[in-house]
Amino acid sequence: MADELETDFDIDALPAAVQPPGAVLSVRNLRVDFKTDDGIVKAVDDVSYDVFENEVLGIVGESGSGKTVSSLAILGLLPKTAEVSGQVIFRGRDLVGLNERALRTVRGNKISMVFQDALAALNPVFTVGHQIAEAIDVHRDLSRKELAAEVQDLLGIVGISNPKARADQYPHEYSGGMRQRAMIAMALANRPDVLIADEPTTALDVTIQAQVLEVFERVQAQTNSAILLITHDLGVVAGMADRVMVMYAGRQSEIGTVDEIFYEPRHPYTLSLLASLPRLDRGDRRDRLYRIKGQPPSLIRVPPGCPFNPRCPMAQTPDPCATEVPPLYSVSGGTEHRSACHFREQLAGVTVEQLRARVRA
Amino acid sequence: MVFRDDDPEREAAGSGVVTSEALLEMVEDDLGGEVLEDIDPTIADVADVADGKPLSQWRLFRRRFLRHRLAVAALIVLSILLLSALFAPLITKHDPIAQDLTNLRQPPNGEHWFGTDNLGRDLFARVVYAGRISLKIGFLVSLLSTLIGMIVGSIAGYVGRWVESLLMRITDLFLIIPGLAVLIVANNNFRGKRIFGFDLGTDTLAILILSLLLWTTMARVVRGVVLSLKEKEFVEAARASGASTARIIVRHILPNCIGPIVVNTTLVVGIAILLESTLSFLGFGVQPPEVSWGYLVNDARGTAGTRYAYLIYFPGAAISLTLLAVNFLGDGLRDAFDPTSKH
Amino acid sequence: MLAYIVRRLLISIPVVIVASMVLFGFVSSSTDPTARFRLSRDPTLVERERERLGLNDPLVVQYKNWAGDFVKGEWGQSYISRRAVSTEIWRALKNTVQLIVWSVLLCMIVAILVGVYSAVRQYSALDYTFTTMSFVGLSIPTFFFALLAIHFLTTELRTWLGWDDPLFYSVGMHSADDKSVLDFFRHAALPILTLSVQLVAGWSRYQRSAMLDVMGADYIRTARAKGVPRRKVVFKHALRNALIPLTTVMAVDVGALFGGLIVTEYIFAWPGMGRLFVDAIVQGDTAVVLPWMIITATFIIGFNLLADVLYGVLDPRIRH
Repeated sequence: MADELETDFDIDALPAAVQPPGAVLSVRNLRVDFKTDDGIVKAVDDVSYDVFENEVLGIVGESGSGKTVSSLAILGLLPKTAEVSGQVIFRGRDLVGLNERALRTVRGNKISMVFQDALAALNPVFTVGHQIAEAIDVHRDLSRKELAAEVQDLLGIVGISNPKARADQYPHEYSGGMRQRAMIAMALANRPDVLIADEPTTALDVTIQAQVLEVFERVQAQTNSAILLITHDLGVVAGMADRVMVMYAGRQSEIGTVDEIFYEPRHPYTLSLLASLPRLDRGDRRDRLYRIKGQPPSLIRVPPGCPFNPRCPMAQTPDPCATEVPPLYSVSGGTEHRSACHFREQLAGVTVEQLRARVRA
Repeated sequence: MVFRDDDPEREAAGSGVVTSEALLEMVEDDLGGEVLEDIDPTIADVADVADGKPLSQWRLFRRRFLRHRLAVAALIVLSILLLSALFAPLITKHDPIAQDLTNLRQPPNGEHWFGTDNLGRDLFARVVYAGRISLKIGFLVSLLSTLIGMIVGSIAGYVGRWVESLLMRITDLFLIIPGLAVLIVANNNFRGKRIFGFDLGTDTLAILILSLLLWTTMARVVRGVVLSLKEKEFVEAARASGASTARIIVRHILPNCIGPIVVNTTLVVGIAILLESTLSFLGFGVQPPEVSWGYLVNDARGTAGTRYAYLIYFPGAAISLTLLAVNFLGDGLRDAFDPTSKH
Repeated sequence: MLAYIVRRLLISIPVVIVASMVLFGFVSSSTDPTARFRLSRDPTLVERERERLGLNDPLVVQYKNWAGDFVKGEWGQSYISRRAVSTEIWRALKNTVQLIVWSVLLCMIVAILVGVYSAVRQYSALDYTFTTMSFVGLSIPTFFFALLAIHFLTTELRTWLGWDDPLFYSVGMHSADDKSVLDFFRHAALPILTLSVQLVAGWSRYQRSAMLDVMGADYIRTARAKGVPRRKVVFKHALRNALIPLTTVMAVDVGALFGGLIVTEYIFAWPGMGRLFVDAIVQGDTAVVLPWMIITATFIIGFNLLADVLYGVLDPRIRH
């Protein structure tokens, strides 16, 4: 079959696109629109970021914030109804608009994905070993024996004991944590440059979560893949990521290093998220959790101006927050710290406790 | 599927297009300035991508149904068929049983739209009048079998235990008997006999027998919905407040399975008409003076392969058109009630 | 797997027994084997016949006697042909099976192809065409379609071709002087076509919706994310899963066919089970009715069992 192996397509033959030094994957002005009967859903609206070699970039946001859609857009895995524009530059080549044949040489090979719910994401009628072998077989020409050995290696890497027997089992015979490990093994099959993990631990128990995150850390140490970690769990990001991007209503709110985001947040949404985290080290029952008022906007009718303004505790409406869309400004003091807030500078030094106190007052 | 229209907030929101801003205003107004109380603080799944427009269920249903153009067309066709059956004497001036031996087997013409049969009877009139019987049987069987199925299904689903086992084994039995053969035997046997002292017409007999055969699907559907609903909060709440079983079934559970019930009732109309016409075609269904579409096809079956085959076309097409309309309508209703189904 | 099959088989046995009781009760209460003696001038004949057939015994005793004979293969004698009912049914069954095998093969292939195409190219012009055709197919009564087929594919086609003989015959299974395979198919074509209309319509719609369900599944996205070519995603990952529900539906439907091709066989005078049944009813040959129903019900139960087993074979989640 002609499409068994597609090494004949040379991605490097495409025209070069500019990328900052050290960046493996650069997303530029990415937009994803869905035309629906009710109007255009702007799932991702003008998002740009870089992923550098050997780093973990965390993308944080609520459901519907566009984090999953933007990650699927990277590999062209969105349904046909999606209209994608902008650039996804991988190693100097733009992937947006490439045909399926070309994209297939990248998928699972240079860039691979780990999905949220491993039970649903693994095909129930094929053995785990077969599905991992398939991931290898699509991109590399190995004998059956080599394939089997490779599969067992991969299962070993992600910490599955007795890989020889486990390879012949079906997904439903695995535990939840093991299935997620198997997904990771499958994503690692061709030593990708970028590993996109979409809520990889959401469906798991807390203890299993920790084990799976450990696998990611070990894997990164071994393979030097860059990891794009998409989650709504700030705790996971704090523990894993080097840099963090916060998304709201399909747009970027803030991007910076972990320390910048957690200790010097310059966007009210980031601040609100941090303020709404329960803190186990403080027993004061009067110190109620912060609640972000309202609910995330419909992506068909995003509020004018800053999309967060109706819920923002510090918004000055109508001017400028409800009239002017804030671009992603550089924040003074940080090197790559950026925030899409008109009042980013006034937020310098504002702490989570101050926000809580202010709202209580 | 919760199909209730009694939420005043939803009603207010349902009038026209609601923006999320308006919704937020509404929520904030309700809270009287206490703006921090409403939505869950954690970054959990709160909003669907395209959501934010809580139209009332009925509006949503109507909008989705009207979008299904074939279903709307089917509804119109069915209405026309029903009206022409109801007002048959107004539709045609011909008598369906008046023989005219000077006008035997006339092909369709201006006077006799569908032509005349081997006794010179006007075929258009015969088809219209036969529609009365066929449609009557279809709708009454559908209603009767729905009633039986709803009673059996809701009792089985709600009461559970051995009652459920027994009732469900009985419906299982209906799955394994050769239905058409049983219908033939039953019809052949009871025809012309008095049942419980009543002298039944052949159409009433057909309605009874078909209903007794066709209630099982409805029973399964209703039982399934009841089983899934009975653990829901609003039923628990009703039970906790001391409502009787019958009241819970009638007031709380049945209104919530309206979708599957309506869809299945619609489809049963088609199945009943098909089965009846098949029985009549084989000579085991209604008998003259009652005449159904299936009987007309049977009456003319010898003309297949001759130039008088139009005698088959018209009654056959009447059945097919009705079944097509019922199937499209059922499909449209299913989509409108349950937009996630991909049938 | 074997244990699974054996377990399923054992569950079916009481079902067959209960079904036979119900059918026995139904048939004994709605048929009268002595009806044909009613017009006899000998007034004692009916009573003597009832005594001879054991009809004056309690129903339970009658069932016991009947079931004992039935298990031994003594199914009684046809009042009309005077042959053993078992012989009649066996002969009819062979002819019916031929019809079923050919149309099921045809329908399976067409339905899967149409279903896959419609799901992969959802809302394309051809998908709409297939959908409309299947709705029409489901809405045309079998007898109407059969008569149309006779009219157009036998008579009109012969006239159009200018032949003496029609290309497709509309009566019987063989010509009197010709037992060739070609002759068989010239007779079988229209019955097979007639049977196939509803099956193809139903199965292709079922397959389409099963494929649509599967194509939206997460594991399909996973396969695409691995770089698996589209053709392989559809025909390996998706089809393999979508065939699980279709196979079970097909098995159940095929079982129902044994009692369901009454109309087709009646119209085309095909000497199978359906024809046997209608003839028996019309001629008052009640001896045939009960064994016929038992055999048909057994096929239905058997194919339901097969559906269960196939489900287990195809879906590893059930197997364990």
